This record gives sequence, structure tokens and C-alpha cells, in this order.
Amino acid sequence: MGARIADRFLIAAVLLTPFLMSMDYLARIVLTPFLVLGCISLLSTYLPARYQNVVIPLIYLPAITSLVVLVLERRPHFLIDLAGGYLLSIPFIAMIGLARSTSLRASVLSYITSLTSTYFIWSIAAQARVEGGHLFLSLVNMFVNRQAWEKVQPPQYFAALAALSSITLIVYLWRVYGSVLVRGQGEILIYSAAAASLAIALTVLYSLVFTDSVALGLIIAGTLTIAATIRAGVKKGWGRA
Amino acid sequence: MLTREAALLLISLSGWTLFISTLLYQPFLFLASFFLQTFFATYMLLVSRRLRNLGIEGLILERTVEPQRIGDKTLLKVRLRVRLDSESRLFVRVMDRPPYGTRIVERPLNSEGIVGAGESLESSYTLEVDPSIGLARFRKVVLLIHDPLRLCYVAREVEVVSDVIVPVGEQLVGAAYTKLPAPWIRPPMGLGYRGLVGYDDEFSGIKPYELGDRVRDIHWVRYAQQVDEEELVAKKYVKKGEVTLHLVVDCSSSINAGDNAALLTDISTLIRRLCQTAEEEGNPVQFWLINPALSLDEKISPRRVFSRIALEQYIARVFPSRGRDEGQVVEEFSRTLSSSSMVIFVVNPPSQNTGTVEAMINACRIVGARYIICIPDVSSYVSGLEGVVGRLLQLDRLFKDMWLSRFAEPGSVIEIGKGYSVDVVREAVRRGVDWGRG
Repeated sequence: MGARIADRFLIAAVLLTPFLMSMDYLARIVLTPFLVLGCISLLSTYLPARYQNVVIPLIYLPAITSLVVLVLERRPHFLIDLAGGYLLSIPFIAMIGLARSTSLRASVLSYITSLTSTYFIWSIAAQARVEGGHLFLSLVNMFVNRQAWEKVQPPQYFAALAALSSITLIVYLWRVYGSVLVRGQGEILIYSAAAASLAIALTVLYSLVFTDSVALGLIIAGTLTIAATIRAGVKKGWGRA
Repeated sequence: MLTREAALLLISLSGWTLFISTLLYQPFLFLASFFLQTFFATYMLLVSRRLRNLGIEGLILERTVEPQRIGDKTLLKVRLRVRLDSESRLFVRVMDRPPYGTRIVERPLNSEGIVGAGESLESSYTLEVDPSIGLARFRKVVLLIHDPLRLCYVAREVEVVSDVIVPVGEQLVGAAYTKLPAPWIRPPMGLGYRGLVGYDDEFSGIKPYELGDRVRDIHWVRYAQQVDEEELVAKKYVKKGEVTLHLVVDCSSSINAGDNAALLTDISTLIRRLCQTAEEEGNPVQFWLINPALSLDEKISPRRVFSRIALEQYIARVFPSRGRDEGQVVEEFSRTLSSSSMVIFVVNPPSQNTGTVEAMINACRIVGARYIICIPDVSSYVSGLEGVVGRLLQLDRLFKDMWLSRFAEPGSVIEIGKGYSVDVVREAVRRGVDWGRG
């Protein structure tokens, strides 16, 4: 029981960063009914099977209504808001995926996806607030104008939160997927986390002096990945392993 | 070795890191992805090193095999138990290598789990045994020892020898037979130029080359010798094939002669030795049991090199039966027979099935197949040759002589004396070979 509570606490800590960022961008935008409906309609697909009769109207009714308004009254706002709502739901979908993932790889990828998509939507929301436009139109503008990405910078505490949640994710994975073996081989976790932290520290320190820290980070990560692949080896038929 | 999960994880993380650093650069995102990739790569390096140096002295593997008979299939229920006599724990996946002549019909259950500190792993799976296999030889077990996150593993082979004699139903496998040395469980057919073995093709002349003939069969020397005609000439071959040994046994009540069914025992020995000889030479055997108590499928065996188990199965069907066989085997026998066949009849005339045996002998004569008739010398099986018994034996001898005189081929009859069935086999094989040369 205690272990389950600890696991839940850890997963909540992992989700804290994308969740707080999502709350931040939700606070920055003007929520319209169709924006909220678009967000809810996509999230409703995660409802249990017994709510299927609710899910279908939730998805189709806003979509059909916005299309009808567009065609009959020539007002695209509802449709644009609905598309913006779909965009808003992406980080939440990634977060749900992380909470429900059943494999280590799915957990890691869901985490990165949730972080990336949250930042992505946060940037769009921040841009929309600056320009005073719709969320979806800001997305188009940001795609067209690459310099728009550099205008908005998230607060520094997101970086601290991301670092915290990344470490928490590793501890969570170690507890959940390492089962009962973790006690005997716990030092490997500590050594690996220490090595990764050192690599991060080195890259950050390097960035204070030089501008090509990304290249350094890529070289370190690439070297370690290739070394791990060569040292551990990949069997020809690893699809069955 | 990296597992599939680990390889995909590294590929995905590398992709994400590249994507974030080039297209959507944001320091905290990049650092998060970079941290995870560095962590897992370092972890895999450390873990693979540890796994390589891991000793498996404390690992104990036990295999139990339980033969089962379901319908006409022989199944082996295999259980593997893995223990680790240590306080540490390991996550292992156990994979057994099925022996020759078996195939997996039920995938392994619980083949992976934690061992050590009092915990053990029990895995089970089911194999189907080929009917021609009498001995299943289990050898190595592959152990995949994983790290805690199951991203890396090391494969270790452990020798766990189990020789399992495959039983057939309630019959015994083989009893003493399985103790005989068997370097090859199933020898290849038609190897060598031994007594009973035939040859694949034999040159029999030349013929005009026709479309569809093999180019290699063109007789180039003969073609070169032709002056006027420019027609291609091809070599002609006769397919002789391997010699199939047909064993025809008349299972009438007349084979129940002698004390303690001595004749039946001798017939069983005769059949065993014949099959053993055929197996050594790589010749297929086919049984034809004239037994009214059996269905047609049970009377006629498939044509193959028999394992000792399958052989015992058919010997168990050789028992004295009452009544007359309806003779359906004759039609099938006539269809199957070829000139390269060798037929051995085991019969004790007069019996209710003598007519059926005669029809089968006639089929051999029509086709030109070699045949040997093994009949018992009943006087050697019956004690007390005076009085009524003596006269009956004389009558039996008279009938046998009259019956055999109808089959005029020289050397086609061999008498079975009590306890001399082994010698009879040697003689039968010799005569069969001599017949072929004649």
C-alpha cells in the first residue's frame, strides 16, 4: 500500500512540470466555449467504454456545429476556436499517456512528448496573448515566421521543474519496472544518474563560455549511445529477445 | 546484448534530442532529453559490464519430462525449474532447445521471472514427438539473464541432459529394445550399396531426345558418332528406387502354436529383427496385418523406417484372432506393390486367411516382386510327437507341402524353427538379395 502511494506521488511529481506549464498557458489565453469544447472532446476519448454514448456527441456535435456556422453564416471563428481546443488538449493527452503507460519506453517517450508539446502550446499561447489573436492563427504565424519562436521565453523556474521531474521520472521507472531487483543493484542507478548529471553540468558550464553547447551535448549523447550499443551489442534477431 | 526495448528506446531518445536541438530548441527541453539519453546510455554500459562478469554458479536447472498420449499423437510435457542458491536476485528468461524430432505445440508459459532469495521459476511447454522418434534427447537450456529494467541481457547456455524414452499408450516403450545402441535415430533412406538397398537410376539404353528431357542426359558421345543424322540422343534410365520391405502377417488362430505362445514370440522376434535390419540399411518397412479384429487403417501401416516404439505398436497388433479377414488389404497391397518391393509373408497354413495370403502372393508374382514365405515348423513347437498329435502334425506337414508346391519359385520358402527366428531373418535377407541378383 505504501509502495503504491509512493509510486503515485512520484508520477504526480513527474507530471507536475507539464501540468504547471499547461495551467500557465491556460491562464494566458481567453477561453471561449468552442475552445473548451474542442479540448474536452479529444480528452473524452480516454473515458471508459461505458461512456461511449457521451463521447460520440462530444466529438461530432461541436465539429458539425462549427462547420454549419462556417457554411451558413460565413463565420470561421467557431471552427478556429475548435481547432485551438484540439491543440490545447495535446499536452493533456501526452500526460494521460504517461500516467497510463505500461512500458518503460512508453513512459519515457510520453514524458518527453508531454514536455515538448506543453512548451509548444505555451509558446503559441504566449504569442497569441502578445498579438491578441486566436490560438490557431498564432500557430500558423509561428510556423511561417521562425523568429517568432525566439520572442517568447518561458520563465526560468520551468527549467528547474523539468530537471526535478526528469530525476523523479528515473526514480519512478526504477521503482516500477525494476521490481524487487532494485535493492541489490541500486548503485547502478546512482552511478548512471550521477554520470548524466555530470554531463549536464559540463554542458551548462560550457554554454556559459561558448555558444556551441548544443553541439557538445549532441556529441556526448551520441558517443555514449554508440558506446552502449557497441559494448552491449545488438543481436541480429533482437526482435524476439 | 540490448533488448528490443532498449534499442528502440535509444533510437527514440536520439531522435527526440536531435529534433529538439535542431527544430524546436529550448534549453530546458534539450537538457531534459539529453539527461535521459545520457542516463540510459550510461546505465546500459554499466549493466552490460556487470552482466558479462556475472557468475552463474548458484543457478540450478531441473527438467522434468512427462510423456502423454493423446489420440495418435505423443506429447511431451516439459517443465523447467530454475533456482538460484543465493540471497541476490536475478531476472531470468529460460529457453529450452527442443530435441531432434519434436516440435513445440504449446508455447512456454511463465518462461521469465525472478529467481533467488528463495524464489524459483517454473516454466512449462509441450512438444509433439515425431512418430518415428523413440528417444528424445534434451541437451542445452539457454538462460537470458536480464538487468532490473530489462534493457540488457546476457545469454548463458547450461547443459541439462535428459534422455526420454517415448512410450506409446499403455505399451511399453521398448523395454529392452531401447537399450540397444542407436547411433542414428532415423537413418537416411537408401544410402550405400548394401543388401536391401536399391539404386536410384539405372542406365537402360538410349532414345531420341525429346523436349523435356534433361540436357545432362544427352548422350554426347553417341551424338558425335552420328554422321548422317543430326538427331540428339538421350540416355534412358530406369528408376529402381529403394527396396521397400513389406511384412505380411497372417494373424489367424493358427499362429497360437506351442507352449506359452512360443510361435507368436518367435514371430515377434522375427519382425523386430527384420525391421532392425531394414533400419540399419535405410529401407522403409510397411506392415500388412491380416487380422479381422483390426480396422483397415490399423492393418496397414504407413511406409516408413519405423522407430522402435512404432514397431512395438504394430507388433502388439499381431495376436491370434478368430474369424476370417474380409481381404480388403489385398486391393491396397496390389496397388502399393512394385517390382522393387520385397515381401515377407509370415503365415501358418492352413488358416481361415490362407486365401487372402494366396491372393497377395499372386499379386507379388504378377508385379515381379521378391517374396519370401516364412512358415513355422510346427513340430518344433509341439511336444509329444506320438499318437494323435503325431498324425495331426503329419497332416499339417502334408497340407503345407501341397500348398507351397503351388509357388514354384526356388528359395521362396523358409521354415521357422522354435527359437531360430533370428537365423531366419539372416536367411530371408540373403535370399531376398540373391533373388534380386538372379
